Amino acid sequence: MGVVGVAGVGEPLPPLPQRSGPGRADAVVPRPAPGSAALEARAISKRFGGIQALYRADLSVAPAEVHAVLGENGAGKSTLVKIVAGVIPLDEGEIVVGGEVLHLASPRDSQAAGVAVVYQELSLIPELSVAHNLLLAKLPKRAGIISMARANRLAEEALAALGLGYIDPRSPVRGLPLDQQQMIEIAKATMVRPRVLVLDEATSSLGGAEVERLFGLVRSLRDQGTTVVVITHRMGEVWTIADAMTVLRDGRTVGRFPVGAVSQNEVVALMAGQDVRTIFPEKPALGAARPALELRDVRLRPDRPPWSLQVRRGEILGLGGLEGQGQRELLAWLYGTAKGTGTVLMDGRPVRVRRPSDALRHGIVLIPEDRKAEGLHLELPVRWNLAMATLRRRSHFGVIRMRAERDFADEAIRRLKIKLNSPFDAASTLSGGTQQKVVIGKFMAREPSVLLFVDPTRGIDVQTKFGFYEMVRDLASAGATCLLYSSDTEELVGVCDRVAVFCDGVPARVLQGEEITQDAVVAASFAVVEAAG
Amino acid sequence: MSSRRRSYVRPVEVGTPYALVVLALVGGAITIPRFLSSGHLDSMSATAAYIGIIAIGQTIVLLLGGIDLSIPYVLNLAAVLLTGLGASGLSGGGSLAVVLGVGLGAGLVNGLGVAVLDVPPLVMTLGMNSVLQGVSLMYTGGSPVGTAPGFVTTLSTGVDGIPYVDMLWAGLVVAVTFALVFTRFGRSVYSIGANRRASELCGLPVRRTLVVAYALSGLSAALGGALLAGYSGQAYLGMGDNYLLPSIAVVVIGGTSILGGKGSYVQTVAGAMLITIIESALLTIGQAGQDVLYGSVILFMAYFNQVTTSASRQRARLTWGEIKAFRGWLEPVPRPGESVAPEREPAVPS
Repeated sequence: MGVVGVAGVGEPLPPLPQRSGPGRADAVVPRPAPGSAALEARAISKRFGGIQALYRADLSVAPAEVHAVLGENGAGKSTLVKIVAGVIPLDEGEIVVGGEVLHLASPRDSQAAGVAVVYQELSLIPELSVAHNLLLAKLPKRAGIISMARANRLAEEALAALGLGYIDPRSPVRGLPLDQQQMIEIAKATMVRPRVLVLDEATSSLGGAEVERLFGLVRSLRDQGTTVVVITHRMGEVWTIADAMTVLRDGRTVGRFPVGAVSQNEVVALMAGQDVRTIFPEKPALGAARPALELRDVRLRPDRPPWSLQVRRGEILGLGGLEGQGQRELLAWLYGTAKGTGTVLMDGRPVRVRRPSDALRHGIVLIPEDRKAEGLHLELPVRWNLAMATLRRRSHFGVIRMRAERDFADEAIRRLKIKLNSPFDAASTLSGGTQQKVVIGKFMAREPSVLLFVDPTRGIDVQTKFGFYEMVRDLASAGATCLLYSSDTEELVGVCDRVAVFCDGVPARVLQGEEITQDAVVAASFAVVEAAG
Repeated sequence: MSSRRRSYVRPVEVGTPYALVVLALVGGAITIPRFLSSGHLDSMSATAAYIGIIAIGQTIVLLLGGIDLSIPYVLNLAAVLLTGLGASGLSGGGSLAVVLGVGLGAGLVNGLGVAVLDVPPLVMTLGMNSVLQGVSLMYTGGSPVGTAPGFVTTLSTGVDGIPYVDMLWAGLVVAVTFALVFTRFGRSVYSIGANRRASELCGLPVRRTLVVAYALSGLSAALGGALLAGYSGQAYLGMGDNYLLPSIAVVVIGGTSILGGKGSYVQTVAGAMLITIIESALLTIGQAGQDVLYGSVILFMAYFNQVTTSASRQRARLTWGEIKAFRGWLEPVPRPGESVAPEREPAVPS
């Protein structure tokens, strides 16, 4: 088996820059005059156990402004949002909306003040229809009986007004693609005509076209006088949509700028506390290596023609195209969790994968997309989580060697720079990016030869992201074969040796070398759709 | 709260049910004469041992997010087989082996149904319970015969004040705890209970673990049935009926989550002790007082579990399963040979 020479976990993880030293460019622009701001958070402090999540953080958003809040994982963005939303109480400081100091005891108080929050995690009820979800709080009634006909009509109008007319209000949410669910989530928040709309990582599950539509929606809301606060990791989006931004680092506000006053690199440096490399790792020339992974006569969807594809040792193959064109299905099929037909050959030998344990045995790992539902055992200790995929390796006749497990986990925590109080803390207590590190650490311990990544950098901050790209490249250089599905075209272009653009379950175009540009990938995604349509 | 945790065990979670055990003992000693006499303590510890042993399987199954409702008739079939096979001429040891084998087999079928056929555990085990009820009836023809083998009775009741059943229980506590804490099987149980999907995706043997867990549940129920038959010397139909909900209640009172992934058998042990002590103390204050106090303790426990776990689980509502278990707590735990009067008198053969 072509096992990557990785000792323990994630050896090739690049060192993350130290988070020390004061940030440069702490030139904070003057805030709007007190009282004139639509939303103001003054000197907010919040402590969770031993971790100071926020320390005297400020946020001031002018009326009818799109304001971005930037920061790394663990900088306190999510905590700030939750405080504004009334989900968690603050220790010190005050929240002012429209000149009034709010006493937030529950989300209800915040909603009453006109603040609507859309979270990273979806809160829709999958079994119910789109209309039902949108109007959940106040379903129209006729003679005391819910009138779904009226609800559907109302929802239809609301969706059309938001440019989402293509979504059928009658369809159950469960069957819709993730990005449409996200749009519905936002639509739901705007149903109450909020004064301040907070979008917490709302674009992280959206592809390029959907992000554009969402931004159109945000602009029209702003033009109607709504103040929008956008929490995001995608630097480019800030320059596209925001009027001003606030940068958080380690729970403190380290800068507030109008967009255009600073460059992206300056902001990244400010977020990290020092300069960060935001260049993609170099793509080495791939020789005529024999294919490490060969897919023959694959059919992901029964009504589509079979196709074949070869991936070389050390190659990173990107899976591109519009959302839901079979990229996820391919990875799931290779990992034994989805149906499909075809032959998989590794190093020339056919392998049969019927369930994840088969895949793992053959050296294939899949880094799942939904880390909470699929990647982690949230309530179990970080140490157990890290050890989960390699229990057998550290046990003797079924009995786990506890000392070996401790050493293994401590090593992983050290290498992956996982910030925690105790290895026995539940994984749920970690921040998003840190959780992702735990997931990756768990699977890297398998020393895989084929890695399947399902939108791996979703909701991860810039610094961790670029560290992650280098890790993937290092793994590939060490001989791993990587398949990377991403909804972020920039990432596909920057990281991958080849990009297979998918359409309806088939890789309709494979771009390589100089052909891989953002424009080409996007063009190919649409071209193939047209050709197929 | 902010101190660095040194182990997965949270002292407050394990300590609370034991603190309540001590509290209940003190309360009993103050209000009831001779409550702490050695005779009464012996009787209580034996009662706790039966329910504790029966709840071994339920603890494991609940930890991995399932439930076993087939305990009553696995237990009952075990009891009638033990006495019946003896009457048919099989040796005591042979009968016990068959009985345990049947329990294991029934559990195995439960496990295969849940793990391979994906039947919901509630349906699978309830169906199994019904099947075994029929089998018990067919086997006995309505009237169980024979007596328990002598050595099982000795094991159950003790000899010369040596409480063998308590010793057996102590041994099982050590074994089960070891299995849950130190083995791959135990780790898989917690993992599947916490997140089955993630467990599958990282290659844990989910199906095998499910099968083994249900098989163990069948085994522990059968062992409990054998011991109960040994205690009363005889078996009768319906003797397992009053053990279903208590087997869940002692687990949950101990603080193990009915949703899986969290808890331990050590906590179930405290739950078994607590429920036995309260049961015993309340015998003297009449049914009405019993109900009130019993319910109060359960409500307190439920509230306490909620408070200590809601922060991490972020789930504040009672689930259907919890409500179901709740109702179970309101039924008294039978004491072997005393309150487990058969509901239907077996037809007395002429």
